[in-house]
Amino acid sequence: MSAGMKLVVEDLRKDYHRQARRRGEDDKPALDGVSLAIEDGAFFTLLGPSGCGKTTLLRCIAGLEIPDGGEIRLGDRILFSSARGINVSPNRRNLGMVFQSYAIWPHMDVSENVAYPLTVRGRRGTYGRADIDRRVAELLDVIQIAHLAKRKATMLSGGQQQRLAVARALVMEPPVLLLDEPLSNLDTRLREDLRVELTRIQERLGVTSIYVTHDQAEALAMSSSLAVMRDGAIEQRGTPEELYDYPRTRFVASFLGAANLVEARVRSVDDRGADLYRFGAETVWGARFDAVGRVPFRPGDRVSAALRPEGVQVIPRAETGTDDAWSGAIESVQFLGDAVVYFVRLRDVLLRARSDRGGRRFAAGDAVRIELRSEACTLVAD
Amino acid sequence: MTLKTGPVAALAGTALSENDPGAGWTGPVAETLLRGFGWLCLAAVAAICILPVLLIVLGGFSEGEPINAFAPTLEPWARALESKHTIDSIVTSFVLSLRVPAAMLIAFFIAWYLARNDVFGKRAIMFSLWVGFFLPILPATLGWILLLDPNFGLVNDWLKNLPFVSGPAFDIYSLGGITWVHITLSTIPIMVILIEPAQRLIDASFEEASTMSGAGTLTTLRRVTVPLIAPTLLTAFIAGTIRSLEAFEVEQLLGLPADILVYSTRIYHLLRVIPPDAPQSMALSSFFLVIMFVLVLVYRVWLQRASMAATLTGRGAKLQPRQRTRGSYAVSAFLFLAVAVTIGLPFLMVLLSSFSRLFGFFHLPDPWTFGHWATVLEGDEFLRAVNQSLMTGAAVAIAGTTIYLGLAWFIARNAFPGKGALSLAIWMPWALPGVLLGTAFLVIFLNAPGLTIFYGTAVALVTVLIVQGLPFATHLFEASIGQVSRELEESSLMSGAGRLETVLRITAPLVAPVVATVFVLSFMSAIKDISATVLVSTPDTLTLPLLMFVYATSGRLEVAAVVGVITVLIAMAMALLVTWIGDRAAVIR
Repeated sequence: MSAGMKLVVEDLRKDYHRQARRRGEDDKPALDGVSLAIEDGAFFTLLGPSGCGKTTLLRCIAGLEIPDGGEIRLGDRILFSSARGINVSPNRRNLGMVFQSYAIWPHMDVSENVAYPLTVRGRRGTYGRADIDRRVAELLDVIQIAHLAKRKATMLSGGQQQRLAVARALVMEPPVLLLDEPLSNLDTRLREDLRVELTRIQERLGVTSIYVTHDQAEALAMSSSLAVMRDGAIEQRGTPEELYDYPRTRFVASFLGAANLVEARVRSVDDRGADLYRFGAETVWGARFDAVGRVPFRPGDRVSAALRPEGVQVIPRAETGTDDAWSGAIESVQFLGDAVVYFVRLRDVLLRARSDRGGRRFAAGDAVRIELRSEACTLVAD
Repeated sequence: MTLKTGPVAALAGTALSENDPGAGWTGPVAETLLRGFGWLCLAAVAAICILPVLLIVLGGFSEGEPINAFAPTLEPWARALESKHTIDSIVTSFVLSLRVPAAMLIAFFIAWYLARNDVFGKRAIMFSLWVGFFLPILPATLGWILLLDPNFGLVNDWLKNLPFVSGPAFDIYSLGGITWVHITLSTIPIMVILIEPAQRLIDASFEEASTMSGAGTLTTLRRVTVPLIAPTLLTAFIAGTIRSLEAFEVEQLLGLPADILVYSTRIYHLLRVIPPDAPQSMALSSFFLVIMFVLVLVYRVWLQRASMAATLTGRGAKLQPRQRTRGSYAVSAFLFLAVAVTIGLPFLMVLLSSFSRLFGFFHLPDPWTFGHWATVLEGDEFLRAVNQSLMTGAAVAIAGTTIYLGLAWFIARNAFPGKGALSLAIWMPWALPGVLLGTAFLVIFLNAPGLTIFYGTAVALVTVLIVQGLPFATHLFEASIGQVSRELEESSLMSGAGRLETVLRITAPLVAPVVATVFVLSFMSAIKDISATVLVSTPDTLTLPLLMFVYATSGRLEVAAVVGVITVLIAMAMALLVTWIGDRAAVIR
């Protein structure tokens, strides 16, 4: 893959209702001025709920949708620019794409499906028959479906179809691979296997990948970098850990890792530099706690506190003997196999606490107290 | 991918991308050109569909022909409404169209039984139905004349030997006779052909859920099955009714001796009397146009509302056909008998009479001869007609299939204003009976400046046949392209294939069974059609069916039978092809 093929998107806009005669209240633009730059070789994930514009963004990059405005560049090649009147058609962009439905052509066998991109008119003559066979065989080997080469595409299982779709998208060695929720049609077990598999292939081939998903676990596990989208705009981007540990908004915090969101007020601020702040804060009912955050709040600001379930520790109330603002009772218990989740009632809020199986066990109705582990709490904007 | 219109798209189309190394045919400029070409084609199709209809409507209000000698008047309408013949023909047409619901009921039960049970010889039965549908109706009618003619019909002769029968038991020259020929040779076969696959596609769990709820077979049929395939039933009903209103050959051949006139034969007569009364025929047609237009409109509105039901089908396991029982063997025996009597018998008669000295007189001392075959095979006329049919058929099939597929793809894959109106315009040629479509094109080819050079050439024939086939084939393609997921095409674009290459290498192969069926159907129109081409053709451009029509109407029935047998053989080969394609398609799925 050529080096320095940075994908840059600038102020991309797309509004499906632009031409609608009557515009409803909810008719927001699908893309509302999106800008981002994706480094060569990155595994970049667009994460967000359905309707947030992530698939539209991917399809605009692919060329399957024509944006209303903005610019898309790959290296020094302009793929789309409304200002310059450039719109390279999808078949000339030379990008690989894996569709949600896989879009395996049922009238071709496995190797015919993979060979197709090498045999289209634009590339005719570039590859000899032997060359095509060799590339297809190599790729099927990498994707581990070489033994299925001559099988009818309709006779494949879901996982095999998915692998085939990836092979087909990679055969022409595209600088960028686009993946539109490629794992969403598979069952949980297979999904986890293929997650590992996709990361392995991506690392081995080093192809820049843009991955669209609404599954936060997938996004955290696979990406080298990710962006959370909301209402046609990018809410926050960074590495998975960065986003998980330091969400900037309530939306990001709730979307990644099922955080407890509690209304709070800032009491003190300590600027640690490098955009990291330590806060003293208290909940609306007066429970005090320490928190971190990326947003420069001031003392007195009304904020939301995101408490990670794994940072919420449940201890028996009798051990401390006090009955303070962090005291409550277990409302219900969920057994997850490797962990236990307690729902703890504190005044008006219900906190989710996750503990390992090894710890002390509680039952519904037990009087308990909550302790927060350090750095388990982040202050976020609404 | 949808084509977007608007300033940005227009902008994208104005400049060539300098960064795009291979910006050639698929670049933005080409995109705009392609879109413009698409629009041009749409406009042409709309014109070609609407023009004949417009001509007919205008012609009804003019004494002169409507292109060059338009003279506005209400006279033609007055003549039509005063003529007893005309009024009678309207009434008769409606009475005859009642065969459609009756045939549908029978066809529904046959289709349901065939779809839900493992019937012995099912493929043979379906094949016979296709043969019945493909058979040119003229020789079949001749066959039934041989059997049921009140004077010399074999069945009548044989029945006279029974003690309680005096005089002919059946008279083919009657409303009953016309209905019988239609119902056995076209209405029931085509309905079964249409309904059976729809029946099979419905998820078995719908019916099973009803059975588990305690409903009996009939209740399940009435409350679950019928509502679910209602769109198909309605399509079949509307198409059948329109077809029945415009049917021509049988009515002409069987109705004439009994003074039975229907709408289409009345029009033919008005055009053939001396002096011809084209304006009155056009006024009469306009009246029927309105009726058909309303039918189609109701159909479309209803179909849109019922589209919810269509999305319910095709999920989950398909029904395993019920095992063969003694009852199913009985049903299959009955179906074989029915097919033999209704389709086999008349053609046996045609075959026999092609070797008979005198049509219908098998009891002469020396009834058999090869003379008619020799006459036909040695004559120039026949060879010319075969040639004409094959050439016309090939032209219609190739050009027609390409046009229908392109048009359907454009409609199915693009959203644009006026799409609904265009879709409606495409139905229009169907609302015109073949005779009248032929008339309209005759008027155009005789009068429209620039087009007169085509009069009397094969181009005229091909054009009429393509337009006649357009509604059905285009909607068939539109429906099947709609079933091809958009992502299948998009992934081809992403693989680097252009739009045309994508349609050719992905879309077309995926709808291949439909492509093949349309191809064969289009080809068959040149082997079958009489009504639309009878007026446009000249002695130089006679196709096989027209040659047969000329022979039959000029009293040379034995020779007509020879041509009929040959046409039947071609039809059977085509039916074989279609069922073979259907089987292969089933394997792919």
